[in-house]
Amino acid sequence: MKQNWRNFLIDGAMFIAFLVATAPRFSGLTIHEWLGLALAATIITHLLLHWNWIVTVGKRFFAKTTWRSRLNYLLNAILFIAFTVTVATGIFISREALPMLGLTMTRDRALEVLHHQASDLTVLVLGLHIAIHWSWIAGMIRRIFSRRKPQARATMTPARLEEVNQ
Amino acid sequence: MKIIGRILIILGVAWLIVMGMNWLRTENVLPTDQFATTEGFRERERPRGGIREGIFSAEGRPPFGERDGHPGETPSLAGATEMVGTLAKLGIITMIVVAIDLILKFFNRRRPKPAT
Repeated sequence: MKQNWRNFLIDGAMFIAFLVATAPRFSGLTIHEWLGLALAATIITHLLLHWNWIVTVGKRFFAKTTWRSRLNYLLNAILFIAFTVTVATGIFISREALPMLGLTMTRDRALEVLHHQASDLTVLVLGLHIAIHWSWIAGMIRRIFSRRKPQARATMTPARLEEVNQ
Repeated sequence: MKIIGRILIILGVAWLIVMGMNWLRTENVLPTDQFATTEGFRERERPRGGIREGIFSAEGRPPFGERDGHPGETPSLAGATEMVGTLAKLGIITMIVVAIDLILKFFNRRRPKPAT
């Protein structure tokens, strides 16, 4: 249960960070670059949290497992590759974060194009990734709202009791 | 120790992907056209005869690499449409896949199971 909430919070934060990172004109180039690097670190955390699933399905991939798991595994692999290419090309063409660390790269138009293509692919595969986990996401959102209702009742109960006592 | 090992595996795989991507780039196998290659970019930006106006440098503006600012360097609320666009794309893809999944589940439920 706790694990579910931890995953939901981390994934939610990653989703919002990803949305902001895909809009460099909105966030500004500095935030875009540092957010991208932070997102890479969060992806590592996300993978570490789901390590058992990665190993288990990886072992069973060519043996006994469902097609849904196989598809999910392949999609996740593509998502990881696309995101890695996006981050790597982003580092190579960095104009703010890397120079701040004293590193400068030669300008390469091909890397810029590749950065955009990989980020477009990431958006597409991320949509599929969300769709595959939609029932879990919807369930967690439902739990948030169903949790609030009893809490609201609980806060009202002492007040009502006081009214009754008076 | 276990976590460090796992992090190293993730970074190692990421490093291999980057090396592979770089190899594909140097072999010109990536779907970035000739126009985008560094040589082509430089040639178009600074041809031997001097700076060519109107391709990468608009009239009266210095070439791309020598500009003081870049459109995305300062935050602007006007750029929020990009974010909304990504959200819309993600929403549409998710909705389509969830709808297909629901339809498939519906028909699978209705299909009579074969007698054993």
